[in-house]
Amino acid sequence: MLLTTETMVLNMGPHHPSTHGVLRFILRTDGEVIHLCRPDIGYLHRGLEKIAEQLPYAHFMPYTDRLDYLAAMNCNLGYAITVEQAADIEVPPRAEYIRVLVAELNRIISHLISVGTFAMDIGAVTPFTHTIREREWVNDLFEELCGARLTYNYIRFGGVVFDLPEGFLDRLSHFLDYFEPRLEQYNRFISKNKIFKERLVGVAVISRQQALDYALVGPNLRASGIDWDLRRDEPYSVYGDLEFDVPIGTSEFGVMGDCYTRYWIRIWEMEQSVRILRQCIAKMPEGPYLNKSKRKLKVEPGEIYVRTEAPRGELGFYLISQGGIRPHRLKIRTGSFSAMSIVEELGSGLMVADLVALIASLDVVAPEVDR
Amino acid sequence: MENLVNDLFGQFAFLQKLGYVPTAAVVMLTCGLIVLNFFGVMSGLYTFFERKVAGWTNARRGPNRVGPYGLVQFMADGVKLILKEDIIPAAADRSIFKFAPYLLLLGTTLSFVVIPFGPKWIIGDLNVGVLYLLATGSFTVIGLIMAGWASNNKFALLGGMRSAAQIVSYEIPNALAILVVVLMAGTMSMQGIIRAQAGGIHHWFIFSSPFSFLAFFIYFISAIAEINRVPFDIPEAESELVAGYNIEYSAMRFGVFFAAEFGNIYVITAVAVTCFLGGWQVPFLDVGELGPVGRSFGSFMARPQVLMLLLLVALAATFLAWKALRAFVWDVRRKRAFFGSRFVRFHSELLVLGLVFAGGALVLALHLPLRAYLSTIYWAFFQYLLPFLVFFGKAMLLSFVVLWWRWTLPRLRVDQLMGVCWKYLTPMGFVCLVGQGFWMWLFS
Repeated sequence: MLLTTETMVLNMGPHHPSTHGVLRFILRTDGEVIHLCRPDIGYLHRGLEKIAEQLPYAHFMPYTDRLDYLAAMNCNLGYAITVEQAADIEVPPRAEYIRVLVAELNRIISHLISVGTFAMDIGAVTPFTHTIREREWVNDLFEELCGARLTYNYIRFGGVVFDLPEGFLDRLSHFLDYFEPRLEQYNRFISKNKIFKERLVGVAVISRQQALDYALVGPNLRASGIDWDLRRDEPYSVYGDLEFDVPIGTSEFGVMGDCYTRYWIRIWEMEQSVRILRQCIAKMPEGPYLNKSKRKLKVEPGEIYVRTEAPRGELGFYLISQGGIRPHRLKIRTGSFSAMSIVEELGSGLMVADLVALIASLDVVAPEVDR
Repeated sequence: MENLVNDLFGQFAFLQKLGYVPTAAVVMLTCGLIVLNFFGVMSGLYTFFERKVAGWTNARRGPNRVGPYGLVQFMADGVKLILKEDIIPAAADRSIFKFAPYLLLLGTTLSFVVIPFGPKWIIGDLNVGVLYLLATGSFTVIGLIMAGWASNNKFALLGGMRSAAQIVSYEIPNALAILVVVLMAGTMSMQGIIRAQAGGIHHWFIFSSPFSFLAFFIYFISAIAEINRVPFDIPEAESELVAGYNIEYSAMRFGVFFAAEFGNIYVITAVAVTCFLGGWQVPFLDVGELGPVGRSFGSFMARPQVLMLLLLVALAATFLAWKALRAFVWDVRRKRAFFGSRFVRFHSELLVLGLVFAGGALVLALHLPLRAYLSTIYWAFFQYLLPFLVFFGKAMLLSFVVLWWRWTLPRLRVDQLMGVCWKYLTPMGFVCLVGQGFWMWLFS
């Protein structure tokens, strides 16, 4: 070829419509084809881990809301379980059920956002507004529960801060009856759309080995065919008593571990969350919702690592205590961070439009990457 | 244009006193202004229409604050765009940057020259009409590349390059589909193509042969690609290129881009209607033959088609009256003030109807020459208003499809887009062209 073309550096983000918060990618492209894609993170760094060292244990709870603002309940839950295990706090059964209930409800709305923005990144605007409409209903339910719509600060060490309001479970099952047919509607609407499939099937395939090498977690890991879900394999709270399936990626739609499989895993997980919620409603025990025995919390010196299954995968808290009312060190391990690390390897050779699909399919949320 | 001038000249005696040449000058100027304004208002109304369609599909309401039903929202937006600061990036190529939107607008405006509004009403019925349209359509791509290049922004550059590749490619299936029509009509003149489709729905080119049926879809898809609408909106793909070629444009320069884009929707749907859906041909009614019947009023009114039309009008009027009555009752029950009442807010169309009736009463009361007025009204209705409404209605129906797709479909990737053009539409276009030739050879 006599024709030589120059590559150009394209700066995508941090203010770009499809970077889900504030992410930045430095791309070296040859026209549309990406030769090198380097994620540049840190635009949303708030030093949460350092803040944790300055505050008493209970005071850090509102900060976990901001850890992943689309799944605040799950982050609350992970932190609460960590401290409870370290400080040996009992949790009453009703509180355990309420916690699982809110966590699964939050998983649903987090996946709704993920699915909606996914479609929006592929160019279909309407599914987003429809998923937002459903999310609004859940937000109303959460508002009823704890007064907040986004950053809930609902879970406490030893339970939850408020009991379920009168008639909450009825309203919740009303929502579930409404929501379940909606999923099928989304599938007709966008999931099975020919163009949507064309854009996603076989794009940015993550093999089993790659998924393990990059320590992917959650839906991204399961989409690559690895059957691993902490809720089932290392049950915490009352997940051991509940029945649910763990959706695994298949090669039914073409290639396992591509963007399209990752999309479907989220749809299937929403179905399973509805199942879990129905069981929670049926089994909800009576009794106290908060163990108020330990008001002045002190943790014995030692180390503990607790991991829970958040919507974006494994959420781990590594707590080092040297006694006292504050942690010595709190390391937070999040799913989005490891998901971002694989972008550089998968990115080269993709087109700009595919990169957008890849980021959307990994369901990266900026605050979780930067913390 | 001569047709229109002659028609008006024959109809109105006072024009004959004025003389032919001044009449022609006045008529041409007026018509040009009307069409230009039509373009402006249409592109504004399209933004309103698009936002309403977006509202319906997105489970929300769309604009409903400015004016009745939010109809004048686009004027408020226009005023906002004019008042905004016009920013030209320091590193931009200033002259090209400034010129690009107007070039785009020029392409769209020039297209309106050959778009028919009725049997006699067209700015210029060129004998190379559709060829001219293909030529003016290509202005777009120059404007977009200029905008993309002059902005000195990499996203804009990518958008400009994408649009160049896309629009130039899609010209081919577009032209092939139109060639099928030219083959059938034996002319390239827009009015000639419409006249060739006279005589009922089965004479419309879309239904005349299997190949032209296919050609319609080829044309429609490639035309949507040419005006950068979803699913082919990759030059301005929001989630990839932020805004594509117009990323650095602000204020009214940006508005001009959008005016051209929305005007283009009307252009492509009008061409689709002209070439495949019978243009201003009214189903079940041959408007072309009404010329000489102009003054024999009674014989015309006795036709079943006209009676049906009158029946439809009567039904519509009854429906409106029923709605107005309900609104009125609602107002009275709640003791609403006149200007805040539902009756006034939602049934302003009745005021127009009332004015028409008042005018009629005035004519009767003053013993004005009723028969002459009626024949003029009748002539204006069947020669100008009805064909225009039919044409416009068909175009709006197709426009709705364009907007509906915009809010339903995802967008193709750049290579898939090229694949659709070169692997599917272009070969199919050739098959249509050759097939139509055979079809006509077999059945003529």
